[in-house]
Amino acid sequence: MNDAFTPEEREALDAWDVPALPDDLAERVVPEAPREEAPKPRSKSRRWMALAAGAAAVFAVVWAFDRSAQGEASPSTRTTIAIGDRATAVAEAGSALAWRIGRRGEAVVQQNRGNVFYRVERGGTFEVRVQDKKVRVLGTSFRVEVIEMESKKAALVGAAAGALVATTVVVTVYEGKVVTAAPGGEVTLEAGEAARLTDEGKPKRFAPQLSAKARDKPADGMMARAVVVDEPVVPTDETPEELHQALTKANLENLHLKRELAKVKQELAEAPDERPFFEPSEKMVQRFADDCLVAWDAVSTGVKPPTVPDADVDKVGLTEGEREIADKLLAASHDELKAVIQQTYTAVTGDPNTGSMATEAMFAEITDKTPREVMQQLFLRLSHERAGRLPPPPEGTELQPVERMFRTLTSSGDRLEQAIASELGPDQARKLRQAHNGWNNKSKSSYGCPK
Amino acid sequence: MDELDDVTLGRARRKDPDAQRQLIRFYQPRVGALLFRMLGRGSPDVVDAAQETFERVVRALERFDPKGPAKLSTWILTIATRIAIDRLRKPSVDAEVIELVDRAPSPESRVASMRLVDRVEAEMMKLPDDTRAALVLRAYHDLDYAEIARIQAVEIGTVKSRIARARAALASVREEER
Repeated sequence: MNDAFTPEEREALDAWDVPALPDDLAERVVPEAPREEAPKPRSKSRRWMALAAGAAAVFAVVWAFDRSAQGEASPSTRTTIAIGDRATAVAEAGSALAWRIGRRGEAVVQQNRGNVFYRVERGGTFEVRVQDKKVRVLGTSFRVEVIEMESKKAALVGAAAGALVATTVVVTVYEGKVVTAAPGGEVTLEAGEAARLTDEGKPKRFAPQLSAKARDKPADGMMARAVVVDEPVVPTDETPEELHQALTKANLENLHLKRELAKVKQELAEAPDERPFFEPSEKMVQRFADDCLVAWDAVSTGVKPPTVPDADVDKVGLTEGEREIADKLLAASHDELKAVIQQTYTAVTGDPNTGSMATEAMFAEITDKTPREVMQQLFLRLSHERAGRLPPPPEGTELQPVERMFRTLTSSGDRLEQAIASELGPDQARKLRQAHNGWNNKSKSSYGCPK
Repeated sequence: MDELDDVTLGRARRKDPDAQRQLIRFYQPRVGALLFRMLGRGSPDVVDAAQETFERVVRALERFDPKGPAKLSTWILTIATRIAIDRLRKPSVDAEVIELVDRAPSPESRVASMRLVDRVEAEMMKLPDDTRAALVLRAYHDLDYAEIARIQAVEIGTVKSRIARARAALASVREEER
């Protein structure tokens, strides 16, 4: 069937290659032992990205904390990325990197282009590969900082479609040591040394212009930076002096980034991280309103209503009778949400036959068929009402079906807690809701603010 | 496309954890290929979505009918597609990231320095999610129009028009190169 695609189309399709999922995905979904062990929590990257984006508004840096074993980033603005638990990369706009972390903590980063700054804490091997593995920076129990820069000329060459480019990498070490490897051999660099790596020969060592502060770094780790330059195969007119200038500039950027990183970390440390998902701080509520973003928790709307898991019964201390009551209320909330989604689907599509459709599919169809501008206005109102910037609509206001659906959805978590509280008491209701940091279907959505 | 052998599938349906893990490893590359193309190669959501996909697969495997009309791979890809589209329609913090992108260099200047893979992805990500899904399922997963129509709950004609639209977008990528 793929013959239907023309060779040109197939070429474009083939170019769209993708990385692989982490090797341990199966173990995450089906833990090996003990059988009753809960699945490994999913990546917390969304929560961290949400926090980071808050800080980014001030510092124009995104802090993306990723605990998964694999990841990829092609940021369009300067982005700080946590690579596993022990490495940080500050990627400049236009850079592209993908990483995989092994079970023992060994990490391999494939950096295809752009400027990236790395810091690696003690742990397993940390390796940075540039394009066709011409360059590797190896670390063992040290810290590593790598900065990659792209020359102006390289950017111009890169803009020409199909331009044949080679790669030059400059690695500078501030602390500890790294091993740099080019096709022609390997060179170990000590603190205060640098090397230029090209397609041919061994890495060429040279003395970079390091600041005294950089030379005086403590010896308990390793810091390095690499300047990676895409350049044409024809000889470049970039001189080592120009590269030194770039390194000096990178030094300053390095210090600037460190300061920014420290600020972001401070901001994150002060962030109300431990607040429940469904009760963000006033500061976060205001930020959400700035972004027309609404966070809510609700019960899932799958085929079967959710029930209180066995583990939660013990955790919360429910009797069997209380559990039955909670299950009934969960089911009532589930049925209410399904009903409002079905009604909205019929109103939006004109199709009354919702019996065979999954609720998720109906929800998707509803949001798909609703103009983006309408969604933006709706989320602006919802988020601004939560922030106290707008009053809620007066009682009896006739709402459009989509708005009625979203108001039902976004308020259902609180209403469910209240319903359980009226039966089992507020403490039990809160404990149940908090058992998983909110009911089992948590959303944080924005369609952007209206222009 | 290859399918998991019947013996392992049977064991997985009987909740044998080793078989369940084998099933996941077997279909993981296809699910990853779909999710990365649907959500974007740089999306932090892909691993999470893959995990959710296989959690649902494992939970619902008992109900999967090996003698039914859908192959196991198609059934799994259906779940993955719906999860991807669901996530795309809940942009979450992406909105904040988009704001940052807006402060970056102009789209034109970014496009000019992009590699083919990035240009293709950028063009594909501009497509409506269902349109991109139709193209991905056909071009990378060998699903026929009828299978895609079942996954997307639309008529075959709609699938054809979605793929035609995606092909036009592919053509525009190639045009830019010339």
